[in-house]
Amino acid sequence: MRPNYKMSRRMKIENTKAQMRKGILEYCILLILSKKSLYVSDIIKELKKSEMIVVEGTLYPLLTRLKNGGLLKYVWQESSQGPPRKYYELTAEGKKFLAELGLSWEKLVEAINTIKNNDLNF
Amino acid sequence: MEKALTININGSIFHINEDAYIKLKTYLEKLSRHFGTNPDEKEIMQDIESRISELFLQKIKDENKDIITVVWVNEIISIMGKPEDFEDGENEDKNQKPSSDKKIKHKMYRNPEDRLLGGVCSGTGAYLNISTLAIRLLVFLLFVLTGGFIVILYIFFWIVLPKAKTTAQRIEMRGKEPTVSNIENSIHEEVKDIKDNYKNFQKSDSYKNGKEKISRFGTILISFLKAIIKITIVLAGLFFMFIGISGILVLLLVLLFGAQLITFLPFWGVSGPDLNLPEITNFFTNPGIAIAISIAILFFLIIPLIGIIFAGTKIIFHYRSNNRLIIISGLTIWIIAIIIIISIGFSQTSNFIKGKTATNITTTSNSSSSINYDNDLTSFNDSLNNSKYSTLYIHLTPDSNSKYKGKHFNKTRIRTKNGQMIWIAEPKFDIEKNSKNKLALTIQKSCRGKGNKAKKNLEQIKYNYSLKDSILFLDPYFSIKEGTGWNDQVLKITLKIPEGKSVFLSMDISNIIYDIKNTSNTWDGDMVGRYWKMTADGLSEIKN
Repeated sequence: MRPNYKMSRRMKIENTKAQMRKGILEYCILLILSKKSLYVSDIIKELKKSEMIVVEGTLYPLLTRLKNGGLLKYVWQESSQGPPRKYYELTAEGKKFLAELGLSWEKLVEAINTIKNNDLNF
Repeated sequence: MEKALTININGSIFHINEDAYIKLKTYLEKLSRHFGTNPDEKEIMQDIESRISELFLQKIKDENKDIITVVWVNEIISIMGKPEDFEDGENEDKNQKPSSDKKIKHKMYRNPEDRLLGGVCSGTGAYLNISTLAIRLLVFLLFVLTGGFIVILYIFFWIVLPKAKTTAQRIEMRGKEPTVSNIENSIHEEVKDIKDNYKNFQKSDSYKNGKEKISRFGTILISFLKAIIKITIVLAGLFFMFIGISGILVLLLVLLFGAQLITFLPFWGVSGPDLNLPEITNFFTNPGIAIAISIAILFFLIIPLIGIIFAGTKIIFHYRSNNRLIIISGLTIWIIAIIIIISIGFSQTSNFIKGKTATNITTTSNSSSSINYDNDLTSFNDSLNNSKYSTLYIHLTPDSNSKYKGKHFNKTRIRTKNGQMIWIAEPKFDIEKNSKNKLALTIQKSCRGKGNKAKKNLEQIKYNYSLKDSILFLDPYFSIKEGTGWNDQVLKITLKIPEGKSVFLSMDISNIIYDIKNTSNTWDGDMVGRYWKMTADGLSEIKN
């Protein structure tokens, strides 16, 4: 029974990590795209640099959902290496959404810091 | 030595080892299934495929090799990730049976890679594993035989069949096994099952185990029923398609060319409907309305037929289609057609009713005088009175039936004369008592409509009669000139006879006599072939 127990606990930790990442992944994508319109592989590069995603497959459904939600749009651009590529950028609505997310992120960080730094003296 | 294949991913051509191909194929299928519940599945798969294609291009460049190996595929999979690695929270459907992983779905698509028009032929060819050329030749043959009507079916498939865009879809299009042999195989399997079961049944019989016998018999019955159901489903699909297609053919023929043409078709024969579009439009004086209602009728009839074809193809072939969109849009057009038909119908009837009401209210000469007594009868009446005979014989004009050969349309008929169509209708013949001591014939015309238009319409009504010795000849029909339109024109002939005079009603006028009052209350149809005398009480039969 023991190894199984360990295994399931480990999976739970992984799951929590994944949930946390998932929660802020959209924010990260919007942040990256707010700087520059980018191709998927560039977005992936950035996200990998900051160890936000493990596999690329995660990104495609997210991008499609954000695009269909009106936060992103893409333009086709010719590429030297092959077929034309989709370059994603923020829409006006996406920019507004990003600003809102920024505020709530700050609040979250503040909340975490407050909890962390508070000496529980009661 | 290894077998290599050529594949197309997102528009780029790659050479790939067979084992690598199988691996990549299963991977793409897995992804496609994973995103299957996602409404954006197609778009996501296309993005992923284009990324995979790009990664392969990069690899070819970097390693200077031009064949994709399993190592590369594994690398790609580790970059893109397996569905279980995705953290999109949309993979909660992990309770799917793992066995379905190995089963490749087989669906019908249009093939965009090999197409002349929409890729329907090559898609069908790929689905059935028949050469595309054979299908195209068959379609061309059908095109010639049906006089181009196969085009309808082609356009239908073009609309409902999805295009095989992604590699996974192209794999689905070809399937693991071609469908024709699939159907055959499954039927063979069922038959084999029946045989096996029967053999076992015989064996068990030798053991003389009564209970087993019954259960064996049950299994045989079930597998037999299964086979029958499978065959029935395929036949039902074919039947639906046949009914739908022939229905549309007949409908178009009838509407466009009229009923004469379709009497040549074996399954309609002479009992075909006796109307066509040009005749229907005669009901409506306004040509714009006539066209509108024709189109509405066409849609009203054709949409259920298309639905039947759709159901038939769905039964036989498996393809993904946006059922809801197709059904909702079809239903919407159908309901709109019904609304148009009903509203036009109502507006026509209200015109009729308005016209009638106007006649009743206003009695001034100019407005809506839809009743007209023919004044040119004086000379005819004179000759009627001058005849020395005491009995007047009433007959139909000889040979007039051949003159008025036409098609039935309720009581009204249509006759074609020099390519022009003329409406003809039966008059109503009545006999009344004349208080003055003389014979008189009056002809009263009426129609529905307003003012001058109604007056004009009345002028277009033509009716002929003649008197020869003691015989009054009446035409069986009056005619309305083409272009007048049908406005419920009625022509009433009233013969007024004084007391003491008698008439003979010939058998042939039974169609036109209308509610002649008589002392014995004899029904119109029984009044013919007898002598009648006008008495003080009214018309009474002279019995021999």
